[in-house]
Amino acid sequence: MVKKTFNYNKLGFKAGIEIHAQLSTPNKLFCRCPASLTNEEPQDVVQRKFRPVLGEMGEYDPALLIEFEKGHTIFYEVFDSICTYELDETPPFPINTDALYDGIKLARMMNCQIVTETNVCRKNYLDGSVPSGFQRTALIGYNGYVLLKEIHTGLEEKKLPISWIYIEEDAARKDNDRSEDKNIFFKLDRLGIPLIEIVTDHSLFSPTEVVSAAKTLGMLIKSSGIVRKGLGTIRQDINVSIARGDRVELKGLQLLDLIPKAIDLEIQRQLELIAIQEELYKRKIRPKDIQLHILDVKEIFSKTSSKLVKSTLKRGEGVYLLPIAGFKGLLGRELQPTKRFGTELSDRVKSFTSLKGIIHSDEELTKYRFSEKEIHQISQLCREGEAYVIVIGKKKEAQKALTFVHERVIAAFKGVHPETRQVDENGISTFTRDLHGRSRLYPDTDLPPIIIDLERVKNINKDLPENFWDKIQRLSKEYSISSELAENLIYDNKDQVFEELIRNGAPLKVVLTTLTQTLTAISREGVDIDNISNYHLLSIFDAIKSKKIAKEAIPEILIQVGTDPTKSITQSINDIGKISLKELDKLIITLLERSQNLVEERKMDAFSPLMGILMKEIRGKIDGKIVSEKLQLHLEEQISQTK
Amino acid sequence: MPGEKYSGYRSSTLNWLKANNLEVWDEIEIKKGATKLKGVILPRNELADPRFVSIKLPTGYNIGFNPEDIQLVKKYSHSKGEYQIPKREIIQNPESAFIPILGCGGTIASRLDYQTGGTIPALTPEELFSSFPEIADLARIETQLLFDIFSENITFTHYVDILTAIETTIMNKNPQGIVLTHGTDTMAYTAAALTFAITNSPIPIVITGSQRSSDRPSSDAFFNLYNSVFYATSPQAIKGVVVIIHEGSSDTSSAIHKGIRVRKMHSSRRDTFRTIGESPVGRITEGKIQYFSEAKKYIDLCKTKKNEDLIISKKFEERIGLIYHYPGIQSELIEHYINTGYKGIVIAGTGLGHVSTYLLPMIRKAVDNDIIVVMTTQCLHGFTGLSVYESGRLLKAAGVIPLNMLPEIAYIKLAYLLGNFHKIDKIKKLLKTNLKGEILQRERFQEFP
Repeated sequence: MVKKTFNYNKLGFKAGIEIHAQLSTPNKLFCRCPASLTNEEPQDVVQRKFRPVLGEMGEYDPALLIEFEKGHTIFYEVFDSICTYELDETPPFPINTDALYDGIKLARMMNCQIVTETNVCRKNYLDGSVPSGFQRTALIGYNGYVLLKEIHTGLEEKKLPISWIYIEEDAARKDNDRSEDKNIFFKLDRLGIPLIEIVTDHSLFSPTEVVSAAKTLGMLIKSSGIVRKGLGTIRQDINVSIARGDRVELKGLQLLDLIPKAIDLEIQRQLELIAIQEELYKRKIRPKDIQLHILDVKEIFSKTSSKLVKSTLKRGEGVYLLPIAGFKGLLGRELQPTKRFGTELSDRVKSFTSLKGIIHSDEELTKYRFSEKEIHQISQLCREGEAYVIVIGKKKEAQKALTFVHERVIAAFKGVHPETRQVDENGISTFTRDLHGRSRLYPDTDLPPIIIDLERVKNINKDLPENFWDKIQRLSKEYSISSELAENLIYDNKDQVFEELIRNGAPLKVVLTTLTQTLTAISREGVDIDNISNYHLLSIFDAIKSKKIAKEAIPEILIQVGTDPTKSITQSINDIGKISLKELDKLIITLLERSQNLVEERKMDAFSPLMGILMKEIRGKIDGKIVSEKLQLHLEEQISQTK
Repeated sequence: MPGEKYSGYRSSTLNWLKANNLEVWDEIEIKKGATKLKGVILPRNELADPRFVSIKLPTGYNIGFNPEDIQLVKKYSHSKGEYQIPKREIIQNPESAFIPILGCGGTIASRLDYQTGGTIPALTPEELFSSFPEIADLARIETQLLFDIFSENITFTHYVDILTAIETTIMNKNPQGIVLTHGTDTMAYTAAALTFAITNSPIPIVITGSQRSSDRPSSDAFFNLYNSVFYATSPQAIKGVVVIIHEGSSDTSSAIHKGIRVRKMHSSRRDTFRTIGESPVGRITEGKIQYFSEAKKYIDLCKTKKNEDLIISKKFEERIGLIYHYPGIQSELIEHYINTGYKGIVIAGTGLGHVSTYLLPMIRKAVDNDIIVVMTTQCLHGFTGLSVYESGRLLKAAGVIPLNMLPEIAYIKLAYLLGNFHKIDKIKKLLKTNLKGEILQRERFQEFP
């Protein structure tokens, strides 16, 4: 739980958003492979190692160096759908101009200036997610803005500046089923799918504003009609800081509802870190008081009953201790629920080394089955006010781990450490990596500068889609529907076909049910509704209009088209079949014969159950209204006969 | 030339820079409508569109602007970013093997110039050790940059430079092995030239290169260089010339190829080099050298020799033609070689080694003019056979010598022989002699991919 509500203004709270959205072009950005994911088994696996390279000023980016230190071996799963470009075996092909100008369209929708000549740049990544070791990225727009409006009233809340818009290639996706320890597997299918990155400036001053901005940007991107739909196609990161803290990037905030809680928990974490900083000052401890002085303490545990230590020693590994001056009690200080300062140290060790974590002096040590004597002997090694961290493992790895612990402890003197954190479903975050420096961005020599076609930009300007908030207002007024319904239609990209259907004279209620309910329902049943085009929908409603089918047939036809997109609507209608009035009479008579008891017992009340049975059998094959009338007639007849 | 101040700028942008008293590396602020942007003016590629000025934004991204579209707001400072190689203390173990690395340019020895986006040489020991500190665990390294060019520009004079450097290095420094870094495009030609020119090498001479420059985190330069140095230090190493480079796309093993049957077979893949018609000599996997059974003969050819036995011939006949036969080829092509005093012609014929019959008179004329004409197959795989078809028999009768060598290797061999021997009969005899394992004698079924 968050401890209290914050005065964001007083704290100097600032936030910005970075959104990544996949474009829906059929091909990838720098090669001509299909831009789609696959469920195939890999045909081949290629193994690679990465090395850090010197940056512009002859220095290594520290975050990249740490990534290298992890000593990971990367395995790439190769599929039929990928080529030698994705494997870093062929230089890039010219940029996919459809994707480029789709990106420019989005930039114009966000009122950005468009660059006249752009250079593809390389952004280094050593985690293996890009086989070349860098992501290709280019700036396309800058200095735009988006109006944050209350979606349903259309009232303006704020003008949010958009700093930069980039077009880049998506990274490979990690295969968590195969990855283990130092062997990391990636599927190459996602690598190279065109991606738009939108960066707002840091002028969101409360969690409410962040949510409003995330929602508006999400809607605007989705309403553009150029992005891919589905899980993981739009990803947002939130940069958060308070005046006395530092910039922390929160990842994994796909659910808008989680944003306020995650932000509050991050503020709480930053405040606690500042409190630790103040406490160190009060205790008159300075960074130089904390030396990287590692002690080998395995002797203490020579007769231990701790299974953990025993098995380690048996493998010939050791137990190492780092005393930390002045930190007594601070390692156990809670920063977020279940996350103490000691957890921060542990998370780093887990992230940078192969060790499973640390043991520290502010923990209940008996849970590791350490004896009183052992605990006493360890504390004897430390001076007054000292805390300590113990790591168990191979000497080299343990020393590396304690070096990272030492670095993080020293950073505590500065309060908040700038870093990237992954948020879980409770809003609690875990350290993932240090923020990357600038040394990892440099020009790509494989591709010449790209000159933007200004004529094409002019045409894009002429044809920009209506702002979605204006559209919500218009749709709801014009068709007397709720703004929520209008929003859903836009969100699902169904607003255009909606208007066209109504113009063609389709009944409003049926259209709305089909677009907002039926499609969702059959999608839940596993039908791929992406296969259902606007043309399909228009044809179905034409068939209803010309009485070729009844409206009850809509779900069945949609299921057929969704399952087999090569099937035409006419074919689907034929497959469902139709029932003549004569056949209907026959069906009803047979049914009534079978149900004599029911009719005798319940008389006209038997209508509903009988109608239910009938419709189950012939739904969609004939108008329900006709069925109901006919059944009524036959039923009345039968009752009058038995009298 | 506009000079360094205006590096790469011409016409309108050059005038704009001059008019506004601006030069490359100036930090400026420009305005377009209501939007301001800050950036540092970058040198520009001379081949790029002259209408734009390149700047680096504070975010690290590069863009170009057209001066006609913007207003210049302000000039700040001049801030040339100097690329510095970090000072790294090189601790070399005096006990370990001594391996000089000779640099002949190419991708392996180049790195990106961050400011211009061009490439710069990168084979100083500082650079090498700061990028690949692990090399120091293997050997005592000394680097010598012989020349820094891409390998498509290498000629026979460069072969002589390399041979001279190898000779003086062996005689004066007594190394355990030599590693040569080279561009991959013509590496196979150089490897063949060195193999023919060096006889009785007392040490392994390893040629390596890379397909991805060392400024990329995925570069194959380290893996190739590491395994090459490792091989050069190994007592198991063949005393002679080998090419060591990625065996497959994975960073798991290197192939060891002999220098006279290897060929670059892919324009960009890491495992571009293939030994054609035979298996490679062996492979290196995680510090282990494994020789393939087929390689035994080659290993025998390279028995340990003393420094005094070393023979290096530094002469090549440069007037050798290499003709790729194609439908519609004109006999003037051959006539040109005759008229310009060429001494040898290698033909990469079709199939078993054929050319169009109408070329025969001109080929006969070439032979009559004491030009040595040899026939290879452009199929690369398989043997030449001038006795199977009539056209082959006619070529043979005309004095064409069929050879079971790769066309490029035949070209280098002919250049070597004509450079060092004068009697035509002797040269013809040596052409057909398997001097260094260059002639395919037996093709196993599985060698054709």
